[in-house]
Amino acid sequence: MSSVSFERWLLDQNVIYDASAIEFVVSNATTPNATTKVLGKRRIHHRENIVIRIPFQACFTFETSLLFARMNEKASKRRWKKRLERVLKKRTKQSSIVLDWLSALALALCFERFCISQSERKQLQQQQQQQRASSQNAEKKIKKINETMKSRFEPYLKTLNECERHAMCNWEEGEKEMLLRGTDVGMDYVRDEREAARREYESFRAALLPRDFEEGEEEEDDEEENSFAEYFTLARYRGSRSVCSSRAFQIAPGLVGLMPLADLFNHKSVGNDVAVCEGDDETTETVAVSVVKQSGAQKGEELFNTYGVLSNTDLLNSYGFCDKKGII
Amino acid sequence: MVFAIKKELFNTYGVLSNTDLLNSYGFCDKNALDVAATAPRITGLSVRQRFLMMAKTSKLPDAFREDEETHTIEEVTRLLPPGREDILRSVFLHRLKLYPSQKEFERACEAYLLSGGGDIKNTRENAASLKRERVELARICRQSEMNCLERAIEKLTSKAVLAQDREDDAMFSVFA
Repeated sequence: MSSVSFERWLLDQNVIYDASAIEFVVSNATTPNATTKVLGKRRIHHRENIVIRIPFQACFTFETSLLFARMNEKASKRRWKKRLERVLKKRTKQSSIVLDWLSALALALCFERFCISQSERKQLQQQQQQQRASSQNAEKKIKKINETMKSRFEPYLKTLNECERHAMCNWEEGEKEMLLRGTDVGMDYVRDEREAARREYESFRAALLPRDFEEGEEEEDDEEENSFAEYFTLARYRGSRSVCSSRAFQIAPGLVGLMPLADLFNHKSVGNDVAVCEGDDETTETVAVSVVKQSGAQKGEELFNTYGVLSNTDLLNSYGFCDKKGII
Repeated sequence: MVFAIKKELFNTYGVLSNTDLLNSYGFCDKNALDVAATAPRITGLSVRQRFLMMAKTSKLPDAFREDEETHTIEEVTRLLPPGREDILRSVFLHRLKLYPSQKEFERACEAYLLSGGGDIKNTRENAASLKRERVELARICRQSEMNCLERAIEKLTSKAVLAQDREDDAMFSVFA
């Protein structure tokens, strides 16, 4: 996905940023040492304040996802809705809401990625079919599938990594015990993200892809469900979960999601330059990224956000990095 | 020596919470992090065991009856009976002892780096780089947590407690 299509998508979504003030540096995500950062293009005074405006609708949340739409389709015979709602409610009772948003958002991201991959596959098939000048009926059928699988977040989601390689849920078996014995992570004083991801995955898999049908449920021969059964693996779920865990923001009270552009700022424990706050647009619901440092931001220097007052244990556990300069 | 004109130079009076800064120096730092709020966690069970051992009583503070609960230094100070910082200090010292020694840790890192790719589904080069990065992250995480525990213990130091824990203090040399 080129940066051009992402920029076009930002425009379509009314995501506005001050291009004279900030610059986004995004290196190739497939390389091991990929870096992403935001630089100041000029000196930004504190009084200028807002550098990015993001409408709520441009944020990827459970409510704006294709999964949510699928669950609420009127004509749908889906057993997903009932079963998923049951799992999510059960999880909410067992844990705090804070933990629950993560699993719901991770599942939604996983499904969105599945739809994107399906859509691409169908598009490819369509192209091949057109080349072979096949029958018009078959062509129409494929077009219809493409429309229902289309994610409006595709250009944005394609800029994200498949997984955050160092977030604890992606560490291999035994790595934690070997390297972090004695620490809060090694002693399980903080949540075991790998185990939590496995438990969530199993409950979702049982809900989405049940082997036994409950009373009153009819077996549905749904191509999409069957394909998702193949796609939905633990590794993919963990990958999506780590992306959500390290990038999601609270957009509004009770609303958590992925925020384009705002998620490109790196973390600084003390003395962050910017912060995500309520937008100033009275007509649309928006969030904004504002310069909060009293001394403003300097030209050519990286601009940092803060993910909270967190110890290195928490940073490693949730985000997969440590802050060498952090005093904790 | 040349300094930039009109730029203030700062010293540090130590890693102190705003409470300490206000108490001792009469000012606060907007950017200060409160060590107490982010110190490594301890379990209710740890505190309960130490409490029974040191306070020689069978009556426990209610807050520590749930074994699963973990607390920061700030929370435990609030929950313990007044004047029993020695229990807290003892818990933190015990907690610090659970870290493998630096030599043991380095040996574990070496063994880890020398071991094969394991389950890492990646190219050989990427797997090696991934391992190196994880060792570095573990070093930083472990070191910062130990520093934090040491600061927490320093904060809880009193003459009476010092005399009592002198033997335990000898272990600090291991992490110096």
